[in-house]
Amino acid sequence: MNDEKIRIMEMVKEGKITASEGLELISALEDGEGTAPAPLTRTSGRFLRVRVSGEKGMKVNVNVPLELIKIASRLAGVGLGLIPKEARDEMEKKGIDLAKIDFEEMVRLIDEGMADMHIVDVDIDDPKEGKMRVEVYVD
Amino acid sequence: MWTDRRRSWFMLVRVKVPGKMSFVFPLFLPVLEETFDVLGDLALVGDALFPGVRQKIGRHGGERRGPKPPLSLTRIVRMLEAMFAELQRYGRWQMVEVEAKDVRVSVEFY
Repeated sequence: MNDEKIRIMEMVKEGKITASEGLELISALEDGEGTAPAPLTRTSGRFLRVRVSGEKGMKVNVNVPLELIKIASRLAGVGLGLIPKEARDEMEKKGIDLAKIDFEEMVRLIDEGMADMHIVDVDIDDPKEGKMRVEVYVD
Repeated sequence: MWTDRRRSWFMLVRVKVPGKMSFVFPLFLPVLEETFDVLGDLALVGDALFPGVRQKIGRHGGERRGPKPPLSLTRIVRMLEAMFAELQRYGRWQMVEVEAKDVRVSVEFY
């Protein structure tokens, strides 16, 4: 089985399959399901883009490949477990409950297709930064 | 190998804080790839020698799904390796660019 995993990793390195596809194959091997992985995805080559621009010169431009989000979501559960309790408590005070974030559901939604979709498109009038525009979209 | 435009070879982290600091940190991605490869082998040994570590790395599956079975060290390293492999698949691209009050930070791949 280890030989199979090494072969999968080599295929990822050679660019024959994406990292996400490689992980799904490894998961299928480890789970011992013996079945083909779930059909893959329309995420390849697409990005989640976050744009923030303010009239006082603030500019944020973040581009994250959707495939990367898919892979990272598998590690998200581990990351949540590593957050110190004090930090969790602090976030809960601000109404943020990380346990409520369902990463698998997020990935499923991405898989189902968020093509050319504007997730967030808002104009804000911030007292410090002035007028700002925030956009989050997939393309 | 070097002419493959679909692949990124360097990650450049640029930080510019006027009057304080300004630096460019280049990272040769194949080196990182090799490092993860070696770490993966090391994790394999770690998993075999210290099986208890795996139990300490809990995993949360969200509110509805509850805790999940723990991941092995090897699997975590392989996932990180897969993440970096994914980052290298897009050729020349910019991941992050932030400008605020003359402070500028960017992460680019070439």
